[in-house]
Amino acid sequence: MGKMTKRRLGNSVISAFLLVGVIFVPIGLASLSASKEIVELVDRYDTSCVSVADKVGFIQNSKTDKTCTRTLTVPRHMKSPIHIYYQIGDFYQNHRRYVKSRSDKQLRYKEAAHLTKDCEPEGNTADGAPIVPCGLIAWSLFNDTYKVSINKKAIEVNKKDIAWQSDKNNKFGSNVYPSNFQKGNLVGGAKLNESIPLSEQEDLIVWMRTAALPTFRKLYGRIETDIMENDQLTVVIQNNYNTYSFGGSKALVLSTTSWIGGKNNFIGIAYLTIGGLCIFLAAVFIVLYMIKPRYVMFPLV
Amino acid sequence: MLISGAGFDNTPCDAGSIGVAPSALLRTPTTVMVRESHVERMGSIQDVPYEILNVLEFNSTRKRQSVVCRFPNGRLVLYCKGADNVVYERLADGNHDMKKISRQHLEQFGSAGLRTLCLAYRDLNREQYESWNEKFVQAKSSLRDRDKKLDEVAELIEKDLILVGCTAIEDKLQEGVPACIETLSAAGIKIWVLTGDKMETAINIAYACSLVNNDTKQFIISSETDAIREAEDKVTSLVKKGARKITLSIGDGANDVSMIQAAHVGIGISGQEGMQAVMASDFAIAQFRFLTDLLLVHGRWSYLRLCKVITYFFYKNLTFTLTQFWFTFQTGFSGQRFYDDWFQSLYNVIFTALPVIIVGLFDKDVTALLSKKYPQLYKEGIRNSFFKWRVIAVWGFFAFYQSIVFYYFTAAASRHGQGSSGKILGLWDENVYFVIYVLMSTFFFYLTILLVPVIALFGDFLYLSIQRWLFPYDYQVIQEMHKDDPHEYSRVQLPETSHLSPEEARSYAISMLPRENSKHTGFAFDSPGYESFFASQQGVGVPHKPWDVARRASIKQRQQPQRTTRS
Repeated sequence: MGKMTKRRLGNSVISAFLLVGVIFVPIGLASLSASKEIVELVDRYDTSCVSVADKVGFIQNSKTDKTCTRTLTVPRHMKSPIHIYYQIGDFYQNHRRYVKSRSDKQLRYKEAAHLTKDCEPEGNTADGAPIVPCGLIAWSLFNDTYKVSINKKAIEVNKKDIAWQSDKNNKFGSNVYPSNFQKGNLVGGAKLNESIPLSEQEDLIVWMRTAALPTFRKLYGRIETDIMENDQLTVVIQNNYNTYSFGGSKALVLSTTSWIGGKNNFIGIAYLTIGGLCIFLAAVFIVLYMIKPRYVMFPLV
Repeated sequence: MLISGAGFDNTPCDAGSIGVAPSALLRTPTTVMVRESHVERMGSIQDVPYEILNVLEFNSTRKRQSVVCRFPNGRLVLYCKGADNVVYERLADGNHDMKKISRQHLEQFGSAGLRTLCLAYRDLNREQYESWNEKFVQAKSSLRDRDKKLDEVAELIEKDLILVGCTAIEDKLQEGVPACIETLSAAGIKIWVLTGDKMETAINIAYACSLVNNDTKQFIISSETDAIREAEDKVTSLVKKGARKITLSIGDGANDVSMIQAAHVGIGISGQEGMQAVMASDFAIAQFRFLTDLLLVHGRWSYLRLCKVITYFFYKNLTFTLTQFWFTFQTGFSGQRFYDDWFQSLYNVIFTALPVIIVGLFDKDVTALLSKKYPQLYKEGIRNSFFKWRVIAVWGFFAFYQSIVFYYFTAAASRHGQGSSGKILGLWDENVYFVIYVLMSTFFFYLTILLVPVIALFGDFLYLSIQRWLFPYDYQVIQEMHKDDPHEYSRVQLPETSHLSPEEARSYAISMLPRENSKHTGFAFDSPGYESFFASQQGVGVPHKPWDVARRASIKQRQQPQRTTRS
């Protein structure tokens, strides 16, 4: 066999765990601190805004007064821009049949208005004229509105630039106008101004980017002034949207943003956990290295 | 006199000569031309045609073969050659001295490890022959039990033979056979040699090829009577079915064909005995010693690769499907897909097929050299270490764990998925490009991309670390031992004599001496085209194979009748 000597193994395992730990823990700390800095206010209003027993009847009745005023106290200083979202719960925008119920060609091209095959039952009117935009997604457009005042002073909510630029340029045509929309027997969501082209209908564009999970938020608008700590925020809501017939929920969300996006402790916690775990395992393997070392004999050439 | 056919001694043997040794010149299906010394004129030669009337083929039950031929002067002779005991049984009475002396010679030959044969002949008169020939033709053209009938017919004429003499052939073991057998034994492979030779010859050969040595106990199973004379293929079938082990048969002659076919893996050695074994086999090699490479290197790698590819294929599809499965809970069980359509279709085509195929083709745990140096590595395959239920369960567990990571971590990380502009992300849509474009402008995308794979592989990495540290496989130990070896392709190919031991240097020097090149050309397919070309390059004169001569002769004959019918 020749002369043999031995070497101790395990360095790479220890270094790998240490490396991951050393990288992940700072990232976790940074992410968590960024997330903790974000101020987020969530206010569920659908239960409180309708006090009668027959909530579905109330909502479906076009004559009832659906105004609802909510008051919120700001816990910390919120730097502008402050984003306003509406959050809907238990609404399966990711249901397969729902996701299919649209016509992207129609949204983009004026000539393609008749391509409404996938949009049934919201494809054509009773006379056979095509509905633009067709499909269940457009038909179920969210129609609650929010008017915001800080300390009793009304402030403007900027509803521009809430949709993706790429959607506005490439998915929705600038010469496509709504027609025959929400004219049928089935009462849907919001109505659209027929003189504004689809590429500028930002609420529609935001709504039609279907959410991945059943509880989701969509951007409503922005407040471009700071809000100080302890300011009183008054929001006058037109509680039009019917989430009552399927047991869904609605909430108003105000949130600041940072480089990490919205408030999401999960990423920071995940990084910290894995980083910590890796450092712990590195320590375990170092102990193993000392007490139960792994030797290998190899021939000296 | 050359009698050619199946059997191990198709080399011409000198059966006595006056002046010029007779040699076979040409063999057609019906005649043999023999160049022998002239009957009348001393010192000159003539070509005499002998007509071959019947050929009684060799088979392992009869252990002999015969030929009936007619001399130019009309004399009918039966020539018989076979194992000594069967020929001796059929000799006519008388001639005791010759028989006794031949017996003694045979025993001497056997103890010297030579393979022996006896030759005998018998004169036939015309009536005897004609009546027997009728029976022979009947037997040969019968539809059922042809072999048995031929055997019976052969018995009728192969008797009262006159002993001519005996031959002994030093059937040299091929180069490298003892080393090969030792290596394969070390690899945990049980080796049986099945032979029809005499017991002394068999024992001798067993010692010569290191199958046994002075320390091993010898149990020899021999069959001497017709009743229990089993063919080699029946022994193979016995091991295959009875012991329920994987069997491999290796042989080079026509008599090995049934054995090769009976085993799980049949290997034919191409060589002087012809192509029958090669054509019946699953794998063909040129020399016996290449068996080590075939089994220990390629066989072992093949097993490793197969296990990896199969387990990987199930794992990747399981992970993929389970990830989708977790999503269905959140889509109202409507069947909405988690992945974009294109990703879905291309997953099994580009993303996960090609890498795995490359692994399946090229993966090696240790180099070829080390595979042969440590034959014990083969035992991992024998024990089926890489494809046990436990291994598959581990893969399955990791598929499950990773699918959970992929789904929940991605969903949770992007729960309020938005960039710093506050704009929300949603499901994939057909314009994948834009979605990716927007995604890549968010920080959380990169954070997620770093987090999810690390967590997914974390479990795997931990498992492997513990496995390699505390419960390593044999091949892993070998890898660690030889971690610092120079890469196999960078090693200089020229032999550096300073590194050889004195024995190796001596054998190397001997191999460099000019010597008679073996007729084993080393090529797997011994067709006249290849062999004669390459052999002639080496300066080796290779005689035409008898069956090729016969084939060419019969082709010419076939063409002639066609021409006549057409005209």
